Amino acid sequence: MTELTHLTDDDLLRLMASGNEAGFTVLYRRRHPAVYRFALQMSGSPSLAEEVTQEVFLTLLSEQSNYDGKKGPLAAYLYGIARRQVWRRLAQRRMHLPIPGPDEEEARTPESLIAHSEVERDLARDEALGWLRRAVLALPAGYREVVVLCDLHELSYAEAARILKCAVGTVRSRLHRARALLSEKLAAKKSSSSGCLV
Amino acid sequence: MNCSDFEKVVVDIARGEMADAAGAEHAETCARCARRLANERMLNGLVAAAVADDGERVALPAIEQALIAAFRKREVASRPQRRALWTRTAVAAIAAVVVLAAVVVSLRKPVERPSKAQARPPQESSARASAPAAVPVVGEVRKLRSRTARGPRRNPVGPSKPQGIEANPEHMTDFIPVFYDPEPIERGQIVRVRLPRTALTVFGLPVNEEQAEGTIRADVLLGEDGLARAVRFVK
Repeated sequence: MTELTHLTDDDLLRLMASGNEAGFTVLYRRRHPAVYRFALQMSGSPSLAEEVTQEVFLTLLSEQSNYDGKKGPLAAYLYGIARRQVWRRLAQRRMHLPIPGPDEEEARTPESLIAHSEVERDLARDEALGWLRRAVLALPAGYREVVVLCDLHELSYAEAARILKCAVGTVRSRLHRARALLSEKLAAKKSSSSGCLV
Repeated sequence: MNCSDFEKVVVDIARGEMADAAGAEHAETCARCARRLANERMLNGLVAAAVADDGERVALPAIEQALIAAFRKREVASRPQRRALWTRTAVAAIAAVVVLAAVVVSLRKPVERPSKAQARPPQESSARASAPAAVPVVGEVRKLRSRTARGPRRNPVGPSKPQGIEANPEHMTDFIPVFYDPEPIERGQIVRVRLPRTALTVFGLPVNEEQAEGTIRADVLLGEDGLARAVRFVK
């Protein structure tokens, strides 16, 4: 299987289409972390992220012929499917979950998103990361997407625009507004914690 | 640059998307914008820490196992379809090769001249012995040309057969164009060949599956240039 790791996504897809299981496995291992993290960062739910990851690759298996490499890279295609799956599942869950009050904000943040370090000096960093994740999850949906894609996944404006199917200028303006909101919260947090956040 | 202009570029400056000297200069003179830039840079630091922290997050191995099981299941389900598609493709390819072979054989024969019109081509069947060897196909070809624009007709035994073929007891389809040719041919030659029955599918005609393994007679209409212009099937 290691000899397949140097192949491109399109080569691996061709292997998949011919029934090569190793080709599919290599492709999954290469592409699933980004899909999983995107779903996790968008939802804050590891179980939802796993459902979405599975669904994205099942879709790739069933709609394999629909992917057209000329229209864009496979990564963008997978992000696009993941995005639709995340919104669908979040909408379903919202129908069944009560709206949390302000005091429950801490409780609704999944513990798994906050890395616990055994070293005491890392507690401040973990707290800061936990704060960032909560702040990102609290952003309006459209803003959250661009922060996750452009900041947490380090995609360019153009790559994010392709995934979100909107103009580059739209991505840029949404990111600016999202960052302004995060910056405001950060300033408030800093002042309440006597200036030391990280 | 004023504070409003600075606000438009502060994110890009902090993210390193752009190096704005005027913006940096403004931040040095405006305490509010300096704090804004410092917050953005702190946010960048947090984002970078989150990216590093998330780097190792992957889905559970059970997801991979479930997907591989789904892949295997799909493969088992799609194998017969793939085999059927391969069979159809192979049969169509064989039919095309047979037609091409007939064309190549005919190219080796001298093109019939009008003065030799009474000569009998060896490929003609005995039932058609009364028909002239170089079939006067002008009327037929003109018919083909006008029909090509509308697509091939599929009804058997067309009404516009040349004289001599009308009396033929054989049942045959109309000539079906092999390719679109805007120039009508003045004269040509008909060569009788045998094709696999599955060749009918190449021309969009139905095949009796019980007899799919057998062959069917066909007349290939060759132009003076030796190229196959049309085919008709004979029963």
